[in-house]
Amino acid sequence: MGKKGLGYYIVVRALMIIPTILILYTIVFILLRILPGNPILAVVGTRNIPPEQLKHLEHLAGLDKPLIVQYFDYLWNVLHGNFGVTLASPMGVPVINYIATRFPATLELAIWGFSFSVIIGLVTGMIAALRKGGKIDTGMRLYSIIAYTLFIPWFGMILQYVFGVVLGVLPTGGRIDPRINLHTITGLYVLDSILTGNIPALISSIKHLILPSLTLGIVLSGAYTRLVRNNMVDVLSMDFIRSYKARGIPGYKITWYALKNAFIPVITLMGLQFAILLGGAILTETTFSWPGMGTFIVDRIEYRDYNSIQGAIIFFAFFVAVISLIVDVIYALLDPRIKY
Amino acid sequence: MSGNLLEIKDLVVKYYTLSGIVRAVDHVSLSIRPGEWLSVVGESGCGKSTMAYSIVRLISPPGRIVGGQILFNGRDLLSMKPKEFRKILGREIGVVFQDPMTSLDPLRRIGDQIAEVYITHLGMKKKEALEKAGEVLERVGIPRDKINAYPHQMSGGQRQRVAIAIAVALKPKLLIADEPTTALDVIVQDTIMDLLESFKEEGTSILFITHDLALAAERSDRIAVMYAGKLVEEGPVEEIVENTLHPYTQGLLRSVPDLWGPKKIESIPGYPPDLRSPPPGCRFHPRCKIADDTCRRQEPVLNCVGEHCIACHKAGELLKR
Repeated sequence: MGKKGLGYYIVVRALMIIPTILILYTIVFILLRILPGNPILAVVGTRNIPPEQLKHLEHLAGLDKPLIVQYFDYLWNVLHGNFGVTLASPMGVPVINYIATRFPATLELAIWGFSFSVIIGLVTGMIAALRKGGKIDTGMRLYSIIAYTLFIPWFGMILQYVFGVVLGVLPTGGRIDPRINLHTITGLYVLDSILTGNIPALISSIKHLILPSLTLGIVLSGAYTRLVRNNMVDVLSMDFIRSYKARGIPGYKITWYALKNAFIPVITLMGLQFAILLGGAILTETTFSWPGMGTFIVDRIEYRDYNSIQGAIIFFAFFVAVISLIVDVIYALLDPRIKY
Repeated sequence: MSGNLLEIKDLVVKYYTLSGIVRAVDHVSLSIRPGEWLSVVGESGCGKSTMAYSIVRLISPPGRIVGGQILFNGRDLLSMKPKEFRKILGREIGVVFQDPMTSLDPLRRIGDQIAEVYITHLGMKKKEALEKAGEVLERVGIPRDKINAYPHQMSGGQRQRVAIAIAVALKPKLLIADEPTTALDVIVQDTIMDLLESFKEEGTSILFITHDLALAAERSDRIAVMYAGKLVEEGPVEEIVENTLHPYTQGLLRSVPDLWGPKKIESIPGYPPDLRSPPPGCRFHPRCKIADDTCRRQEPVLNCVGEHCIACHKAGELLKR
């Protein structure tokens, strides 16, 4: 550690989250106002409503205030932990209520997708590196490129068709069989099923998770395959590996030391991937009608529901920032060479 | 000759590259006696490191040991089973590599890396092994409290001492040092050489690989000179330095700067040959001032007068002079 230490670094990094989110909020605020229409018009649609009533509704939603006032009003609310209320269909529901049910769904999908991507990436990358130059290596590298370029909705639909329609073994949408009653504690269905000892719910929720998280996992694994392979090849050719061999250290131990060294850059990628992962989750959610943050945001954009979109995105961004901070701290703890 | 610790017999190592087969070590025979310091000298790419790595079987594809025997205490290292061979590696034969900046695992404390050889070879418990690691650290001149340091917290010279500590931890009979001082500055170089010499005094044989004939001459008992995959001259250090016979060795000696003498540095003209298609006859003939037709056509064999061996058609002539 440097003079100032890890604690200082964490504080600085945490403080940097504030401007990041402020900039993001500003961009989202502006973009939403550039979009034609507003929440009231979206609900009213083509119906004929007297202009006075329209004005009244807009006033209720606070849309008649100057933009700059709207901007700071919402910011002020967020600083107090208040994400506002929905502006359309239904109107007046606290946005945090939606986040509370939608976010765990996305988190669960993200955790599973993330785990799939890391496991697939590590295994394929390691095999490729140990068989460097051979047919298996070529195959794995090809896999990495194909996986990386797959379009989530297209790939998701193929999985849905094969496993849901043709084989009929896995559900193609939703989080759980609607006939099953699950008492939610954390909102992560698999965890809740285990906590409440609800076996049918556990099986159903895992079945529902497989296709969406596999879609997400495979698409994201390509980058890991490539990175793990290349790092492992580099590390295996390093002098200290040769030194280990010259000391009579058993091969499996050397492979372990090599993997540890090859893993360091992978942790950085994990932090970056987690942000992409949540983006990918939006596409996955719409493909698999997964009731998470992604489908929520897409749905709310239709209604120009400013508060919901702003709230969801700020919450999302905050979460990504915290994850990336945690990843950096793990990185620092694993690699003694990192100084701050 | 019996009583040798290590005997390399007719070793051939080839690299099967896409652009051709490289004969890196071509029928080389060498031996080291117990407690002896043998230096192998030659330019980059002459096969000296490949030869050294063959002893510890660290030749990796596309390289392959094609022929020959390497006897260590009478047992052939090349035909041993990997598991059996691993018991000798690190225990009876230690290796120090060229670049101390990269030869230690950056993620592990040096104490753990030293202790590992005690744990692997002697089955010691971690605590006892770390105790031993502290002792051997002090032996190589590094304070015991550095045991918890990571490699990046040490200088190049210190790291090389750590690498040496690991190599000698189990008091091996043979220490192979592949240009261990090339990456270090001259002052540090000298202290590392002193350290190596102190192990020789304790009875460890040293196989020292270097491109620096002057450095080799300071410490060695014997010197072997390699050129283009072949052994060209070998003998006791005084013989090699004062009664140099091979035109290549003479060239090497002339290219050593001398601080006090009026000597002019002369380099050997030309470049070492491409080992995918070495020149016919003597491999040195294109760069040799005294080469004649025989040299261009016929490959010289190694001939010995007493302990001084040389592979040169002109050896007889040179001796008379």
